[in-house]
Amino acid sequence: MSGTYTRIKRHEVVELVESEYGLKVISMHESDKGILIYTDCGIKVLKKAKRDEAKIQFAAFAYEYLIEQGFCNMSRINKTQSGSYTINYNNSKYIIQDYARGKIMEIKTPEAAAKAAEALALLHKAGESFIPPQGSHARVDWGKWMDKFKANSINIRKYSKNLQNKKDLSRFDKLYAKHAEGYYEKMFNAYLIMRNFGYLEKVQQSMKQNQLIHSEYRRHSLLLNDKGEVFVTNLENCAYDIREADIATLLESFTGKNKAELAAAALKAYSAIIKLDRRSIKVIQAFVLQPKRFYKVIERYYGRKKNFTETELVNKLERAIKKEARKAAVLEVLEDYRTL
Amino acid sequence: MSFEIFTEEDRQKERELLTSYDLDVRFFDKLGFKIKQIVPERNCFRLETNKGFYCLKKMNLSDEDIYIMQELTMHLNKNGFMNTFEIVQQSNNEILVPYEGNQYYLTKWMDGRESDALNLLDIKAAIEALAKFHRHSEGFESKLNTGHRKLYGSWKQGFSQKLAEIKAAKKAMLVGGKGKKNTEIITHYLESCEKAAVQALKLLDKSSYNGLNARDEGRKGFIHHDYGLHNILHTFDNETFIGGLESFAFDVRMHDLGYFLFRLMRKKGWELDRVFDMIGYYDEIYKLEKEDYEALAAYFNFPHDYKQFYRLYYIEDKEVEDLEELEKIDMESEYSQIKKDFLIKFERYSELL
Repeated sequence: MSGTYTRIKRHEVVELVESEYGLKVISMHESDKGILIYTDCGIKVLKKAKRDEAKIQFAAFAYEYLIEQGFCNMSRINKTQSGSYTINYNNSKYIIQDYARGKIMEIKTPEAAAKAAEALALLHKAGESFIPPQGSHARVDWGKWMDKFKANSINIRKYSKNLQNKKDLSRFDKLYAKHAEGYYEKMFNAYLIMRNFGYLEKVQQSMKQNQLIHSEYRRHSLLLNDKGEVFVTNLENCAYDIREADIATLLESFTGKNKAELAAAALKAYSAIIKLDRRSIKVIQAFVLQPKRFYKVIERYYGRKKNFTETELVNKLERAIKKEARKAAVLEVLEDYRTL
Repeated sequence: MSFEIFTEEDRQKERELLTSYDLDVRFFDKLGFKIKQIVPERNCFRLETNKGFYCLKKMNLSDEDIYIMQELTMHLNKNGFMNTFEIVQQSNNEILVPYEGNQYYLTKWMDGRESDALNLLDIKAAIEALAKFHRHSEGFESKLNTGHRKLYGSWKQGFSQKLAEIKAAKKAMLVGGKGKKNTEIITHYLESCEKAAVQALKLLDKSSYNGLNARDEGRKGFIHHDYGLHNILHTFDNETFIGGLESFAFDVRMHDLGYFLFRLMRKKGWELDRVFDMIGYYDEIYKLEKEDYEALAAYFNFPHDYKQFYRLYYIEDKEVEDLEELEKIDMESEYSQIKKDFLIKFERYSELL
């Protein structure tokens, strides 16, 4: 095998898949989604799993649960004959999923944005009252964002303060110093919005409902199948959290000049299935407002981990600043949404 | 038993602990289970068996202590507090399983998630659970000898003992720390620890600590004695369970609340409003009085975390590299200034009550 799966030996994988899953392998080849395996029971995708077994088990049950609840446009993780969701190969864990035919969803029109948002609302509906199975390891993000934004804003200030005592500023330092104050304000405002507009109430509601969310609901996780339906992938990082986090991720992933139009269409379509009140909109606004990308890069430079090259991070910071600026249109829509 | 040691979670210790388990097929036969899977989890093993999920622990207590622990759990249950981990009785009515010179015991496995310091709702639930735990612990009487776990009135002695350790550490730093990167900061930090410890002792002297002890001892309750986030579990039906009862003690209930809040604020910053909110959650379930606040003021003043840096830096010969941790020992840092301000305000508040 080439690329990501260089260490995989074809005959060993065939043997493993046939013995563990009871499938007859006809042929296989590597694709950008993993290794495609053509079997007597259809096409499967073999993927290397980055998470431990208990976490994979959580995701696998989430897939099963969502499908059971009527959200069928997703590929469940296949079980082995012994009931496990993973197989071990070369000291790594692998999973097998049914292959979904389709192309990555282009969200360039309000109709497409609405379609993606509708699918998200249906996924959220199906994801209510999810209780993980015994022994699995749930990812839980409930309640952590407000304090995280506050801590991040404090850190932005702290890094700026540290620069004042530094004699020779690097290129990165200079770029950071130029933008730090603006991003501090964004981060701190995101915290204030969450504090003043009922973030904790939303969390409480989500905890009561055991609300499961996708966590990476952006256009790259969405396929358009042959029937023109939205097919959801990448649910492996699903978590317990508030729905607003997913909506913010979707809105942020819109590109092009008509972002505002797309965001408005998505909010309207979502709200037709699950009503978004003013507080929800404000919480989404806080998620979009916080300069996540910017913070991620500076945290790498000034934070605990020091494995980077200066040029690489300067480039990343420049890209992050550009991307952060692109959110303005979506933020405007959210600001005006109250009046819609 | 020592008064208390403030340590951060130590995963290395957990790993070492787990390797000391003598697990083999004969042992599991003895338990009467068919084992499907064994997974290490923190300081125990999670067993998936034909009879359900269990948590296997190796005994590091005396036989007497484990039986007292069982009595405590039963007492809490009898009083209506069911949210602790039930110790499993074997078919011979024993709770201990001897094997290869060690003793093991099982508790029922509970699925859930650990409390998250960032989630204010988790913190609220944890504090409310603690207040209920304390209230329902009252009226406990044991047939066994519990004297070795009685710590009433021991704060002064404990603080003094630690103060002596801080002084000794400071001396050692002056001699042995020369030429190292952070010696000056740590020496300065130990000096401030010394002052803080003296202040805590003064506050304790000034407070109604003796009266507080008499009151709590009279109520015949017990405390958890290691009430941190790692011992709190939230289930997915929104119940909060308390684990790690092995450290139980008979002491004033403010030890648990102080210990919990101290660790939390150290992590999240010393915010007066938040602390009052949290104390309020406790107070709503189990009323606090002036002497409780006074004891808390003394407890917060004491530098319970002094050993951590000293041990790392001087005994283990490792530099404190983590910027966040360095901030905590730098007396000029924003963290230290905020903490100082917090302590003054909290002390004033406790006096004004």
